[in-house]
Amino acid sequence: MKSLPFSQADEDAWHETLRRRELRRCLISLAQLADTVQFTEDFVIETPTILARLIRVTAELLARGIDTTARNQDLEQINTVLGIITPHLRYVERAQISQTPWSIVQSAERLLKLAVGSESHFIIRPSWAYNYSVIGEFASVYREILSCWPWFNIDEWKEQVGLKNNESIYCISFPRIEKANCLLHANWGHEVGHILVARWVAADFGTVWTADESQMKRRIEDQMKKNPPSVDPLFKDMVIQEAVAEQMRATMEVARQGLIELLCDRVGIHLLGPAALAATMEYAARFAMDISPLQSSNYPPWRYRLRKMFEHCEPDLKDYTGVGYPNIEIAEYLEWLKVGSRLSAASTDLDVIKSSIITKEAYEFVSRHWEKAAEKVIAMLPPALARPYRMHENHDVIGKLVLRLKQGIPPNEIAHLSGQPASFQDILVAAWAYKIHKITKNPGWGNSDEYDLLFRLVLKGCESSYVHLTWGDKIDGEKL
Amino acid sequence: MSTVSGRGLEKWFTRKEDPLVVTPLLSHRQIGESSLDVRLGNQFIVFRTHRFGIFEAIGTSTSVQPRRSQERQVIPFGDRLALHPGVLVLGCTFEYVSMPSDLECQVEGRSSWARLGLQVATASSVEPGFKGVITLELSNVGTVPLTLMPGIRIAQLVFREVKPPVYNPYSGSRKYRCPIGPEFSRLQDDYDWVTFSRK
Repeated sequence: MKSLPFSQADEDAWHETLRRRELRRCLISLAQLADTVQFTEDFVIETPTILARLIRVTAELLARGIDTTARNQDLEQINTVLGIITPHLRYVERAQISQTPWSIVQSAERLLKLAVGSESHFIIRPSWAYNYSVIGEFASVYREILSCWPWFNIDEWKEQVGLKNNESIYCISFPRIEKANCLLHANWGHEVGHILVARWVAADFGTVWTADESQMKRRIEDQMKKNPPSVDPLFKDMVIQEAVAEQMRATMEVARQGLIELLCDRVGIHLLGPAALAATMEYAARFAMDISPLQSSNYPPWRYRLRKMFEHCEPDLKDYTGVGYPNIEIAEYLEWLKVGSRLSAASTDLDVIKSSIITKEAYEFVSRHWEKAAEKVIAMLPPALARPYRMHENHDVIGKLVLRLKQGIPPNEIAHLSGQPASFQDILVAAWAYKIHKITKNPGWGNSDEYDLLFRLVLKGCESSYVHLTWGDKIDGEKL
Repeated sequence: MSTVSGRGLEKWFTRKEDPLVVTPLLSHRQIGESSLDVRLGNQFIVFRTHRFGIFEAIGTSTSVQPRRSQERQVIPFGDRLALHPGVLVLGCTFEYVSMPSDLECQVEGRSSWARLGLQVATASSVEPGFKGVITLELSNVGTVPLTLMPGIRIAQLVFREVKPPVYNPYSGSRKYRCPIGPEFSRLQDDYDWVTFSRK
């Protein structure tokens, strides 16, 4: 039997009924999944459950809206939103205690919150990709999307989610295979930098770019006119203008991405000093040093990035014999850093940058605005973190922590029975100093047992120090 | 061997060579007259009894079975662990201990907990030279469930001087090296298991 086609009205009605039923079912499933994850999994910090609640409440209220007030024309958008928020649940799932280096998650979160504000919440989760990254912000995006629908009760949503308007949620990822390698997690300093740098980009980048734009355009045009494209003279000017516009767009992307990464590096090294530098060096060693930004998604060459980091670490690379810096425990680490700084003496990255008008203009722009931009981003940090972390100012403490590691003791306090827990930064720097000491003494050092022991001691050190800092003073009020 | 008093421990705590380290001590009050209180860490090993019938310490799957039959749990500081009657859970001290070559210690329960039915250690001797957190075999032999919280004072260490100091501290068994959490049973590593095992 041949069926008759729907009338348009009938088809719309049929479509709507089916859509509503299926969307409602999926949203309820999502809410149930989020509920399960929120209430049955174990997390060392609260943020994963906050994101789970955000997803659950959103799904529940959308499902209810579909039953009652949602307009037909919004159903397709609801489907899109469902597609966007469902995968967010994986960030929650992967933040379970068993998936993370939980011993340092609390210490790290404390530092991250201090850097960007206590209203920011962090999920720390592994990713199978070998990459550190930051994703988010989630809460404001949800709020913005849901506010677009007049039928959606945003006040009820806010009340149930329980987040204030200024509260935000970010997810920081680390490579799964580096879970225990807490030394490399000094890269989290760079990632939290993205949050601050995004604020700078939103506020300032447009202005500084516009101020320089006409001059850059003129230079690119001049370059283009020297080597004009071989086209019919009738179209020459038009083709040149198009090519210049394209090159200007590319220049802006290279400059913007370059500044972002370099500024994030600056934040990382400001917070974690030579631990951030060492972590970046080890990470960068996997890649070529002088890849053009045009061939690497606009990222700056590693040599360029390391040079900027070394510049900032300059005060730590000097000897201060008057104060006994470097002491014996960190001397080999300092030497290793000094040798590493020779990387930046070569100018092969600059040659690569100069070889194209796009990267040349972009990096001249970066140079012109670097100091002021870095100053502004660092000024966003709270007073407690206004001063950069300097190894030479903490060398005495670091030396003591290295000594503990050498003795097979976690580096959690400055001296035994001192009652003074070590800071997260000091612990990471000491861990690097110890590792470099071992490698210097024995280049063959580093079998899995040796690394395992180092990681365990550092993880325990971070955890003990966190507990000590958090509860130490409250334990019957008696200091040692 | 005589028990070292709290004041007597000062000598081991402060000497430069081969000191006694118990870190961190959150309160000076943990050092008692003749013992040192230690706190409960936040890592536990629970038995997955649904995964096996009888625990065979030796056999074809000896290296795998302990891990399959036990499971690590982390209870964040501030949260609680319920220990039900008749249940054995492996826990550990929060403090990391480094024993000198001339001290050994016994892990003993605190009477306040014992009166509620909590046993904290059965393999209670810590040898000279040991470094790590101390595994505690927590079992509730009472009749009511007990709530435990990481950070509470759970056990006490009673130190005794070893004379003469041991020549090669903690060399007899390296099965448990610098642990930072409770360790799975490694009974299968015992050198004499095979001797008594009839093929």
